[in-house]
Amino acid sequence: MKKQEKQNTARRDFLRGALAAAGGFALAGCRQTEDPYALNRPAVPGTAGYGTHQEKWFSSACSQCWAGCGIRVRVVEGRAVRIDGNVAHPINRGTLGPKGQSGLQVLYHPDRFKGPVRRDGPRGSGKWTPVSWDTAIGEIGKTLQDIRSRGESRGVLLLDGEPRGMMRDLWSRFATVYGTPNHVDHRAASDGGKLLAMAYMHGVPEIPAYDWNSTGYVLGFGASLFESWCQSIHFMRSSSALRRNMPGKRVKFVQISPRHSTTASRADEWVDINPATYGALALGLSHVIVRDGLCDQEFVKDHTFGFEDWTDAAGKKHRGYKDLLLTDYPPEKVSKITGVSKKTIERLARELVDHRPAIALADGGAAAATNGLGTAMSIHALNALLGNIERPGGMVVQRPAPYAPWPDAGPDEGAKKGLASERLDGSGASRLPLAHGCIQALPDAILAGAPYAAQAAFLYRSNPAFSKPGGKRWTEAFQKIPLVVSFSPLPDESTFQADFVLPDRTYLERWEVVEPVPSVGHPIVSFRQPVVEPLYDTRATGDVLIQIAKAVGGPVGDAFPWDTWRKAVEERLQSLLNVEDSSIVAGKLSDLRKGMEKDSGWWSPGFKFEQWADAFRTPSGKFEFYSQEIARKLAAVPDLERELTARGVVTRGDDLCLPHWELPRFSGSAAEFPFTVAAYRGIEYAEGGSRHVPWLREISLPRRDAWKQRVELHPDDAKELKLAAGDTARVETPAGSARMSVAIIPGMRRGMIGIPLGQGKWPPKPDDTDPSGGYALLANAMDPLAGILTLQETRARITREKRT
Amino acid sequence: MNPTRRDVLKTVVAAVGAAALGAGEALAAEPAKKKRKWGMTIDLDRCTACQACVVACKSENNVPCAGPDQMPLDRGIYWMDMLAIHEGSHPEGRSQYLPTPCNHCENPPCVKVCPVGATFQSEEGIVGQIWARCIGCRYCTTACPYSRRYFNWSDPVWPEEMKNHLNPDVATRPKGVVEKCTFCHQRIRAVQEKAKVEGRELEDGDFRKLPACAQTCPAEAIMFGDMNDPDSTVSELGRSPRAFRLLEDLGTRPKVVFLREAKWKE
Repeated sequence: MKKQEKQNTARRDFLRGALAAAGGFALAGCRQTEDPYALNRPAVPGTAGYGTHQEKWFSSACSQCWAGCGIRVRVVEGRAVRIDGNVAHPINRGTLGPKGQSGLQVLYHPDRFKGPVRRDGPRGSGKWTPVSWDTAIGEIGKTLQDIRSRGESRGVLLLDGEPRGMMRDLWSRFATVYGTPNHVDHRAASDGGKLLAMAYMHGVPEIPAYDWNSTGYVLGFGASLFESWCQSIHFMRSSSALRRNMPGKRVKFVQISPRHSTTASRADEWVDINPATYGALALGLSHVIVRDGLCDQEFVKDHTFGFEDWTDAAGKKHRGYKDLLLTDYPPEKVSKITGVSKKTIERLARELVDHRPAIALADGGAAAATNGLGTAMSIHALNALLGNIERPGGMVVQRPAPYAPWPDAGPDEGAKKGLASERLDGSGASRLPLAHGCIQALPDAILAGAPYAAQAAFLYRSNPAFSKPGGKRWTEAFQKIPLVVSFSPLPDESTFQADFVLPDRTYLERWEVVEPVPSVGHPIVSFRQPVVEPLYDTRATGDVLIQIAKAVGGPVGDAFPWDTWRKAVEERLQSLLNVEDSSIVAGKLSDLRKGMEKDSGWWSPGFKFEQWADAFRTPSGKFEFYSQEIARKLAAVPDLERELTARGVVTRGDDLCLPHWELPRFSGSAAEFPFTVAAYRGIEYAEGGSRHVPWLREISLPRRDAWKQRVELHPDDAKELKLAAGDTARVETPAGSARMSVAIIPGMRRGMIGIPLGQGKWPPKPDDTDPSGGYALLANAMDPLAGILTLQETRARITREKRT
Repeated sequence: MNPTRRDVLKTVVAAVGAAALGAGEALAAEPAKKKRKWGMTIDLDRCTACQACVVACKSENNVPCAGPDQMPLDRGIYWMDMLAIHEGSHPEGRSQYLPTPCNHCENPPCVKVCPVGATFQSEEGIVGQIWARCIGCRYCTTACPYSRRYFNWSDPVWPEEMKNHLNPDVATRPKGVVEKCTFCHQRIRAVQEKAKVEGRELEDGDFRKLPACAQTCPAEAIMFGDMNDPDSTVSELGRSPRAFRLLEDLGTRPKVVFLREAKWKE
C-alpha cells in the first residue's frame, strides 16, 4: 500500500469513530465489496462459511479455570469476538468471571505454537524446527516402545494438569496399559489438603461440594472464595443471594486469615490469625462445641467413627476425638498459638452452633502447610460435629456424572510389573505414606535417579519449572530425562526443555466433555465444542494420545481402539441417554448432543441428601474422625517411630489418625529472615498463572503494578525499610531471591509480605536464570507424611534496590 | 404488550418517578412521550471485586491494553474501573472496592467545558464523546470530578493476532482523543432495533443486564435500566436507603447509583 493511501485509511478509521459515536449505530451493515473501512486484521481459517458481517453464536464450556462454566461465543465472519456466560448453565447462569472473559486473548495469543516442532539446539535453547505430526508421533511411539520392551516402562512420567474428567481418565488408561505408576497431577501443590481430608475421612478422594444456597453461616479458613477458588463463580452468585435475596435475613460469612485479602474485606467479619495455625483454631472451636455439649449428638452417634474412646478387634484401646479435643485444645492454649482471643474463639463456636446449618471450609492454600493434612482434617471435622454433612445447607459429597467407564483394558504382565513399582515421587510408599501424588518431590528423585531412572516425561497442561518451587531444579531434572514431550500451546519454562512440542488446541477450538470442579453437588457435565476453525496446525491432545498409543502398538494400541478422541468420548456419553430427572432426556446420541450444544452441558438437578453410602466409603461406612485408612498406611511403614523422628513429626500414636495440629516449620531463621511470605493466588490466577493474558495482567490492583512482580508490605514496615510504592526491592528467602516492585497495602500484617503467585515475566525467555512468578522464592517444603506443598512457611528479608 | 404496564408508564411516571429521582426533572413536562433515562445501580454489598466487569468492558468496547511501558505511567484505559479504597491499616484496616463506570451525570461538567462540542449528552441521558470532533485538549478529563475520562496517549496497539477479537460493533479510537464509557450504547441500539423489528415494546428485563459489565457480573451486583420507569429495577434499587451517588454535593447528579455495603448484625 502506498503511503498516501495508508494515511487515508487511517483518516477513515478516524471518521468511523465519529459515525459510531454520533449515529450510535453499529458498523455492521454498511460494508461494500471493497471495504475501505475494514480493520486490518490477519486472515483466519474458516471465514468461507460466513457471509459478510454474518454472525453465529456457539455454546461451549469455559476452560480458564476448573469451574466448568457454560459460555456463549459470538463469532463474526469466522472470528470469535465475544464470550458471554450461558444463561442455561447451572454453575454460572449467564455470568462469567474475569478469566472466562479473557479467553479470546488465549485463542488469539500471538505466541502460540503454529504446529508441531522438534528441538533444534541444546535443551532449553528455545530453538525449534517444524516437524510433521506423523514423524513426531512415530518417533515418540518408537521410543516408548523401546522403553517398554526394555522393561523400564515405570520410568515414564505423565505430568497431568487436568484434575478430573475424561481427559484425566484417558491419561490414566494410558498409564495402566503402558505400565507406569507415575501419572502425577498437581494437586499436592493446590487443593491437596482438602482432597486428602476427604479421602481419609469420607473415603472419597474428591473435594467437597456445598449446598450454599440454603446454608445459615459460612466460616472460611483462609478460603479465598472471592479470589482464585475454583468454585468462585458459583459462590459469588450464592454469596450475593445469601446476603440480599432473602428479605430480613442475611447469612454471615466470617473469614479467618492473616492477610487482609479481598475476600477478607468482603466478608461480614474478618478474624486475624497467625500464619499456618488454622488447624489449631479449628480444634479450639471444636473443643468449645464439644465441651458445651453443642455438637449434633445424633449425627455423631449414628454417622461417625472414633469420636469416643474405643477398643479395636484385637482388644487394643484407642483414643477418641473427644478426648483429644477436651484434653489438648482448650481455648487458652489455642488463643496463644493462633493469636485469636479466647473471647472470639468462644463466640465463633457459639455462632456456628446457633446458625446451623453452617459450612466450615478451607481452601487449598489454607491447608497448604507442613501441618496440612491435620489442618484440613481439623477444619473439615467441624462440619461433622455440627451435623452438617449431607444435609441441606451443609457440605455434600459431589455426585459423579453417571457415565460408564470405557471397557476395561487390563495391563499385561509387563505393565503389571511397572505398575507395581514404587512411584517416583514417593507417594504411597514409606517416603510419603499418606500422599496421593507429590509433584514437587519429582526433581530430586529424577536427579538422584532413585528409586529408578526417569525415561520420558509428558507435560500436559503442566509447567512445573514455573509453577512449582525450585524451578531451576526442574530444569536440571528435565535435562536428565532422555525424552520430554510438551503439549503446551504456548512456550513456557518447562516446554523449553522438551524434545517435541505437540501443541494442543485451545479450548475454543476443540471438542470435549468436561467435569466441572464440585460446586453444587448434583452431577454436571460441561460440553465444549470448537467455536472457530483451528487457527494453526494443532491437534487436541486427546487425539494425539490415542495416536501415540497406536504408535506404541501391541496391547497399548489395542486399548485405544478409537479413531478419534471424540469417538472415545461419545462412547461414554451413551450412558447419559435416557437418564430420567436430567436436563436432557434423550434417546439418541445426536439428540443428546444437540441439547448439550445448546445448554453447554448436561446435568441431573435432583439432589438427594443423606445418601450415606455415597458420602462415606470408609472401612466403617461412617465419617471417620479416626481414619482407619491412615492407620493402615502408617502401619505398613517399616520402623515408623524412626521415620517420624527423622522427619521431625511430634505427634504419635492414635493422634496421627485423628485431626490434630503440629507446629508450623518455617524455612529460614527469624533473625536472618524477619518477614513471613504470604504467597497467594489472586482472582486472575489460573493453574500455572495467566501472565500471558494482557487483560488479566492489567486488572492488577494497584494498577501501576500490572506486568510487574510485586511484593506487598504494611505501611509501617515499608517506612522502616525506607521503601516507597513503586520502588524496586530485593526479596530474599532461603530458596532464592528476586527483584520486585513494592506495593504498600494497608491490609498487610506487620512482619508479613504478600506475593501474588503466577505473575512472572512474559514472554518467558529460555536463558532466564530466574524463572520466578513468586514460586522461585518459596521453600520446597511439605507435609512430611502427606506431601502437601506449603505456601505459608517461608521467611524472607527485603532490602531496597537502586532503581535501574 | 402489556396494557397495564403501559398505563403505569403513562400515568405514574410523572408523579412517582419524578419524586424518586428528585424534583424538577424535565421528564414531567412530557408525560405522554416520555424519554428513556439510562441509569445503573451497583450494589457494593453484592460486589466481590472480581473485576469480571472490567475485563468484559475491555473486550466489548475494544479498549486497548496499555502494556508494560505505559501502565506504570497510569495510562491504562478503564471505561469500567475498580477503585480500591483502604482505610486504616492492619489489623484495624478496611478496604472498599468500587466498580466505577462513567456516572453519566445529568449535569455533566465535562460537556460544559468542551470547546468543540465533542462531548454531548444524548436525549436518553448518555454522556457521549464524538471522537472525530475531539481535539485532545483534555479540559473534560480535568473537569470530570470522577476521573472517568481517558486520553489516548498513543495509538491503540494490539498484537496482530489479537486484532481478530475486536468487536466489529465498536470503532477503535486513535491517538490524541478522549474516550469513555458509553453504557454500551451499541447494545442498547441493537436491542431497540430488534424490538422494533419484532414489533414489541421493550421491558425492564431487556435492559437489566444489557451492558457487558452487568451481563457478566457473577454476583449480579450491576443492574441497568430506565430511571424514568418507576418500576424498573434501577428505579426500585435507587430508592433503597442504602443508595448513594459519588460526590453528590457537587451537583453533578450522577445516574450511577451505588448501594452501600452492609455487614451482618446479630
